[in-house]
Amino acid sequence: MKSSERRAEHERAEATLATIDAALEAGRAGEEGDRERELGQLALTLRAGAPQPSASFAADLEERVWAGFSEAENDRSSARRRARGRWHGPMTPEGVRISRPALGTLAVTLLALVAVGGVLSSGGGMTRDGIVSQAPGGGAAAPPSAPEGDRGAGPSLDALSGGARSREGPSSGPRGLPVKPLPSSPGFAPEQPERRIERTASLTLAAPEDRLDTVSDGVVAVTDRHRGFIVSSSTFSGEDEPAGGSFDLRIPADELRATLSDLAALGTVRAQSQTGDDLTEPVATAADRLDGARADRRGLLRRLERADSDREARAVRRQLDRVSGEIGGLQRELEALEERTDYARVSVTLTDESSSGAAGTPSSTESALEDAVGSVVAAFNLAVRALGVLLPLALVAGLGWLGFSAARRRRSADATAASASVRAVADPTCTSSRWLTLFVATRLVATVVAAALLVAHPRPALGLAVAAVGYGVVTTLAALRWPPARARPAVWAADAAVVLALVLVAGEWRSPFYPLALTTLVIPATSLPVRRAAAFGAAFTGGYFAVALATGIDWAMLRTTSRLESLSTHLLMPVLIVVALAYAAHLLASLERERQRAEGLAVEAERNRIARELHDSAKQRIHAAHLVLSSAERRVPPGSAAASVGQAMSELRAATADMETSLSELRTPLEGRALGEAVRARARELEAAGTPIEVDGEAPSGLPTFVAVHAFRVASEAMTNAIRHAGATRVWVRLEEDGPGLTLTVADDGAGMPQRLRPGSHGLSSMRARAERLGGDLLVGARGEGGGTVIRLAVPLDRTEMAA
Amino acid sequence: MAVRAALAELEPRDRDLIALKFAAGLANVEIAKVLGLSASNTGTKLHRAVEKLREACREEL
Repeated sequence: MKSSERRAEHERAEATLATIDAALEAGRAGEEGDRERELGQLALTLRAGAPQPSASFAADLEERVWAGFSEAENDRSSARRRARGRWHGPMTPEGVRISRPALGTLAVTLLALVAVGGVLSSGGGMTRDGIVSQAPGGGAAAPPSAPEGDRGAGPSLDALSGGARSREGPSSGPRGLPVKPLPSSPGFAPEQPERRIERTASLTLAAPEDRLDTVSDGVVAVTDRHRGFIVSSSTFSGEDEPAGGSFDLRIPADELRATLSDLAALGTVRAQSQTGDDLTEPVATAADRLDGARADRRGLLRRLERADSDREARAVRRQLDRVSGEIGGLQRELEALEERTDYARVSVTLTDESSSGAAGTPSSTESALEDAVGSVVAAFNLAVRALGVLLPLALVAGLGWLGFSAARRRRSADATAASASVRAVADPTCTSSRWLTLFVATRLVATVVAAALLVAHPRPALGLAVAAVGYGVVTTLAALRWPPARARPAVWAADAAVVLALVLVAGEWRSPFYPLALTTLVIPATSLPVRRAAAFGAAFTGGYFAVALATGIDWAMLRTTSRLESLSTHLLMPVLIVVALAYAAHLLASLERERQRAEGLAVEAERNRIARELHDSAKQRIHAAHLVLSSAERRVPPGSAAASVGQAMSELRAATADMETSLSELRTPLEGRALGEAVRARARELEAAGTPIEVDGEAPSGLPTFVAVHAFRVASEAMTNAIRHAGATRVWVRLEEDGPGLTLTVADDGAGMPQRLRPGSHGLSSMRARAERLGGDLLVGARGEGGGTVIRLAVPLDRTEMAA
Repeated sequence: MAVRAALAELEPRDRDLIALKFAAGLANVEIAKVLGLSASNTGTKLHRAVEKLREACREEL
């Protein structure tokens, strides 16, 4: 092929391509010449005739084209773009975002509570050591104070302290400890003189080294004087070791106090301690058993007397032997116990004053340190106990504040959502049956538990049990039969108040009514948005704490971990339950909404696909017909036949235009938008032609999808007609909620009805058909002043059709 | 359908060309890349194929 020919062909090719591209672009064949027209038609036919690839295939093909021949970066960037486009991200529930600081606080609080519990349980018995030990048996620390002392010991006490002080000398500060008065003997409860207590005492005396012997003799003398005896003694003296001695004494219990006073007078008291073990119980038990055994023996002796036969006598004697042995053992036991309680053990330690004088300062520092540590520990205990109660309350208060402030701030933005949720609750079909089942089940169980606990109590409160059962059953029935009652916040608050009152009447915060109180939270938690539910839970906890305070909290009892944990749990549980239930309800509701929306979209997509297929084949045939006609037109001689052909071709052109219009409408379905939004968008599209369109109002929320779609088509058709065929200069569109129903009105100031009825236009009839399918009415009339047309579509809607 | 019959008579290469142009809607440059031809060559081929089709349709009528 010669280059000139090639160039010519090249030019022709360019021309062809240009024509084809132009035709494809414009959607219709050019008019410049036969060839152009034919080419254009051909191009359109080819496009219409070929099966449309799916958008994804075309995009993929394009990508592969570029990917196959461009740099690696393009490849990566396009892949990335593809990935970004297709990944929609995890579904986050809108409106529920428990902020991370709140979560962190919650975690820290729980950890702190655990730590607190650990510390408390280990530091439980702190005050045991050295200096002052309390005599157990009563549980309460009886602070030693002078008035409690025995009156008989009064003068000796004074003499004692006076003596101690005089020994220390005026120049030096007091080095010895003040003598603590002893618990009054014979016991703590003077009205029970029979208590038997085993006492142990220890005393550390200091004296100057040269006086140690004297002091030792004094100890012996005191012991003798008080009818005691020395079990063991030892003295040691030497040059390297500090001098000293120790004594192990037994003093009659009733002489103990006097003995200790006298001993204390011998030297400077450095340390003193006493313990007592209440042996009354064991002694009483042993005595009882002894009496019982003796009675057995007496009975057996009588039987022996009455025994008829040798064999019986032998049997009885065997039993007698056994019982006698038992009696012997019990007697020994009793004696040992009595001996322990009759005599107190006293151990006296003597130390060298000078040597301990050197160590005196450190020892007083030590004791001061111990004192300080003791008080710090006590303060810590108190603080930790307080925290254990205050922290849950603070957490609850914090959540409550979050809930209230968030609710206040977003009140306007939330208005629709809140009213929708409230409306959903008011609608009986919408209160999800699963939450109602939960409520009924938990309330009945809690009622049974409350009644059982009340009846099984040592002091049964039958009246309260009956009240509990009655209330539980009545409220359950009311909830089942009376849906509006379920939905009002006032009812929830009243329910909670009644149960809290029951807790108050029952008299203790660890109440049989606690589970019942928790069940009052179920319905509010699953009906309110999460934050409001949290606020409700916080308010409930506040109320419960108030009731607990009113019934009395034994703060001292909170010393143990289990008691503290119990109170903390009681306070935290309502909020945890409420938040968990509210979150679950919210998640389930949004899942349901998403599912419905996806369903709606799927249906719409399917319908669009079918319609598009129909359109495509129809368009194809029209183009083909046009092609045939246009070539026929050339061959037909001018005349009536030619005129007919020409008319047919113009009809075909109009048909193509109509198809394009309706196809473009198909391509803009609702796409998940609300009706109002879609209508406004379409109006904006049509406004491009230059005619202003005003859209007013909103469709009711919860409009079923098929209603919205048909209404949209009607609105679109009406607007299009007004602009294209009636030549309107202004168009008004209004959407209203009319009773339970939708009303769509499209008005224009155009040419009015007759112009709109173009031949072959099925606009009105299709609108009527849609109205019929919706079970509504289509009204078409003339607009009053200003001329033009009004089209009104009115669709009544059943309440149950509205999506929750 | 005349067009379809005419299409069937085209060579496979030309059919691909038509398909890429009209069905997939690719531009000339892109078709060239896919088929591994130069752009002008593609244009020429396309022009020839379309002309063939046009003739075929004409003849039928």
